[in-house]
Amino acid sequence: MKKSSFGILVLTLSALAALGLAGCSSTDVVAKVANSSFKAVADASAGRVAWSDEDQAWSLSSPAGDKVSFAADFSRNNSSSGVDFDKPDVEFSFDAAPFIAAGLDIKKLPAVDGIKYELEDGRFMYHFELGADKLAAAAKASLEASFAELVRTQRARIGYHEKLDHYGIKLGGGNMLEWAKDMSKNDKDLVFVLDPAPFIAAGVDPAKIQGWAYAKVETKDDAGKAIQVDKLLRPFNLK
Amino acid sequence: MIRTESLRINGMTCAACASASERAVKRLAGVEEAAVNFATEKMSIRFEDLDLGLDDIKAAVAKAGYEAVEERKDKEITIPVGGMTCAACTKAIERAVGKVAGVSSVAVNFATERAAISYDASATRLSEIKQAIVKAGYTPLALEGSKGVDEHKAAKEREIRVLWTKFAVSATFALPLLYIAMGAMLGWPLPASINAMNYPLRYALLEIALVIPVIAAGYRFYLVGFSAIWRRAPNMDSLIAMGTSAAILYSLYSVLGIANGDFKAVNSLYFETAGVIITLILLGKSLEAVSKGRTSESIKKLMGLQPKTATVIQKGAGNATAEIELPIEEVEEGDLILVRPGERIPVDGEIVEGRTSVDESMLTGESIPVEKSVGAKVIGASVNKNGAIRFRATKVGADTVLAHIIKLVEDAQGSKAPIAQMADIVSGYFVPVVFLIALAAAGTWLLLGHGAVFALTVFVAILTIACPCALGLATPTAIMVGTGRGAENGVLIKSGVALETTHKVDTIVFDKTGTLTKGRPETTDIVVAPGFSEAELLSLTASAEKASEHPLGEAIVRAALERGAPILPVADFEAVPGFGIKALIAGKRILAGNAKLLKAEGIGFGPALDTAGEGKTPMFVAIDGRYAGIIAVADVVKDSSAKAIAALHGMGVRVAMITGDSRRTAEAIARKVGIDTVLAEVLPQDKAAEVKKLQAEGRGDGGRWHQRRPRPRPGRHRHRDRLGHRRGDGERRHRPHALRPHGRPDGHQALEEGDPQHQAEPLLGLRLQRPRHPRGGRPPLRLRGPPAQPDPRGGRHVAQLGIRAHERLEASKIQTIHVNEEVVA
Repeated sequence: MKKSSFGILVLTLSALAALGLAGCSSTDVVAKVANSSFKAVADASAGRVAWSDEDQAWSLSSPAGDKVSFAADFSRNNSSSGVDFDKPDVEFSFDAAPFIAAGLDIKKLPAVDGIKYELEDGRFMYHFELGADKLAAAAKASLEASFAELVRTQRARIGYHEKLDHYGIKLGGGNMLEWAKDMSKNDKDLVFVLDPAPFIAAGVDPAKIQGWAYAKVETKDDAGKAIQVDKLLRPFNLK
Repeated sequence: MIRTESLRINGMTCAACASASERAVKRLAGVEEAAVNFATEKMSIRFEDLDLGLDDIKAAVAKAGYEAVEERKDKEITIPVGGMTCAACTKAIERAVGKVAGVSSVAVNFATERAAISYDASATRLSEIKQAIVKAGYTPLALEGSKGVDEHKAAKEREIRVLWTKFAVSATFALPLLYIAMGAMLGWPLPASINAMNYPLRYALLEIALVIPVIAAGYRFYLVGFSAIWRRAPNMDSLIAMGTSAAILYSLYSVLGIANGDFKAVNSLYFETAGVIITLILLGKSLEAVSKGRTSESIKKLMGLQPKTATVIQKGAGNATAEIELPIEEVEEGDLILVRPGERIPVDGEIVEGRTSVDESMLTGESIPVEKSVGAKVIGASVNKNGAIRFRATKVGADTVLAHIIKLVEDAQGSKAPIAQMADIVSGYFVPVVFLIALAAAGTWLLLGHGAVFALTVFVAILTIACPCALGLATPTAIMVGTGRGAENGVLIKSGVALETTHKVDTIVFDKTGTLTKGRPETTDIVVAPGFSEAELLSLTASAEKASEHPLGEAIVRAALERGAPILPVADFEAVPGFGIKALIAGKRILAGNAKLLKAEGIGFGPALDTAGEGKTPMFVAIDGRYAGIIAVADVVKDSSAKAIAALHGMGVRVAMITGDSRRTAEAIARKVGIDTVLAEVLPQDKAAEVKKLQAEGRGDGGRWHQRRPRPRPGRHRHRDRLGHRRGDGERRHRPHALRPHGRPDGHQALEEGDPQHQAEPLLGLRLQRPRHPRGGRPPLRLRGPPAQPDPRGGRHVAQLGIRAHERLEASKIQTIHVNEEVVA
């Protein structure tokens, strides 16, 4: 075989190998590191991680009591009659007082597909419906296991926020949960990211919500284009 | 002994390569001169061959990283062989042919009954090979073809095809690569599955998969570029290789980072940079190869003028002769060749039997067919108009006038303009300097505290942007395209120097016939004697002239056809050399010719038409012994001449006309077209002197008088025969500005110049030759060869044809070319 033919063959095989690798799930480093970094967050909050038999969900609380819950099975709230939003796939729970103080009239919150708002015992609850995936039974074993199942079944919702060096789950309606890729290099270990638009529509002055930051955030849209968006941010330092 | 050789240099990719190989050879002791032309990939070397051989030169070139090969002189032919009965016959033929001196290889295939032979055409002749086959007891049949001449052309065409394929492959992968890379930044629609942020490794691997075929397509840049760096002679490919390699290696490093969780590294992928650079360079290379190929099209057209076969008359038993149609490659010097009317003359030779007029316009520019009879020279590729001739081949193959012209055009297209030479020098230094600048820039940014990534980016950017294409490619490409385009329009631009100095032209001297005039006679006046009608006169005269097939007669035939006059069958026809023709048509005796013809027949005629003022040729006609009238024929002014001259005036160029015609005629034509200066009644041999006089008037310091000739029929190539530049001392010295044939000048077109210090003036397309004595004087011109053939019928116009044969000598002296009006305009 001529040298040049051999070279071309090697290059062709290399290209095919690269193409094959590109399609291989093992090359999904974002998913991998998303799991490992979230585990680090969970490990840092070991005392604030809990299982709820009632909700069949794992939760992680911040030192201030804000909480995020992950259902161990997304199919449990789906039936032929529809979605039971009282059993959300993911739920944010935080103190409602700052919002109310900033003008929130919950009745005025506009309906957003896949989201339910709830105000109970002074806490504002954001119920997110992510899908109807039947998660593996192992998801009940731990928060990390539930999360890993979420990543596996809802991979498209997982992304990397380059600006903050965060990973994030897109929960729908412009709302996200972000966490630090490397907690040792980041003081914002966990961040609730909310779309301020419904709150503004419900009378809230977003700049006046105590404990929340109202800011423009640079992110990338689905096509990867850098965009600036307004967000309400609630960062937690879990360390 | 001083020896001049030409080698083909392979492996050059830019002007810096040309400089590198040139330098390598110049370093050799004994080399007087070495010049590499990147455009033609040829090295011309002048060296003392006592201590130095071609092998040493080749070795030096090889050491510089290129390959020098001698121009292949071998011809490859396939001869069908009859009479083989078994496999052993093949061995017998191979042995027999292999013994012929000059045969480098022979392979006989028994199954196909063909012998594939490669031989040195300068060492042996095909006939000797055939004879060897005959002696071995077999029969060589008609030749199938020769590949030797076109081998390089075929290689070039292959090169173009390969380059386009590489470019197509490269572009096919580089475009999606570019889209994916830029789309991620600019927000172009991309599948979520390859989102750079969500799937960075997948995204990076996809880019790798796309860039690998691009690298494969451009692998040669790396082979050549890095080996050039290794030899410490970096070239343009080195820049490309370094720049793209840096981009690729850095990107691969980023991919490793991504794989290890550093997703920000997805922003440091530069695969698309490398891919697009390689693709663009491949596009440039492809375009360059195409432009090179395009310039050879004019040469191909010239080659196409030569007929493929020749009818050779061979003696058989006793005095019997046979006409055998042979491939042109088999025609040899001394062969007797038959050419029928309308056929092209296959090779150069001398008429031994017959009389005809020959259209040599495609070779000499002479628009009116030249009368030829026994003893006259004929040029291969010219058209035999109206009489069967037999001629003895005197020049065949590469020795023919056509082959010389092709060589001249090739040489001209490969010539370097001063600016090109400067570009070569500059590009030789350019590459290493760019390396240094890139290193310095990167180092400076590092010292200023910027990161290694930024410094590397700067380094890569400088390497990749600083491509010396403009220096190394633009000028030779411009020359090639310019000369090629010129050739397509009938302009032979002799050299890059001529092209570069065109802007200095301030005066143009036009020849008249075929330049300002159509060069094709037309009927201008018909004077009818009492008792005859114009239709009758024209019909009968045209019918008689139709049989004559004489150029003047053709004008009358055309006029008859245009006016609907019938052409009648000719019952009897007789040409009276020097007088005219006699014919019997529809029972009427027709006499047509000059006044002497009628006088000789005792036929009186009325007052002659006053034609002197406009150079018209009167054709006196008598019908049944009575004077019937005069038909005047003249070479009329082209419709476009005045426009072209006006355009030249608009450019501030002074226009002169030089002609052998009377002043009255010349001035009449000059008035029609707007000529500034008329040089009339100038004998052909005095034309050069007249031009020199104009030069002496101080219009520029020489070389600003130009003689151009519009070609008579747009769309056809007309190349002035520039034979006859033979040096007095027998040595051909490099004269960069003159198209020179190789070999001895041909017959009456030859020109001997006694002065070895033959100088040339820079002109457009040609150099106005002004031979000078070392002490400043100029020797007289001496013309060799027999005078031109006299016109058999006499008459002014035809007499002019005779003069024009001499004119060509002067034309070769003053390097006339044809410029058509479109080009002038």
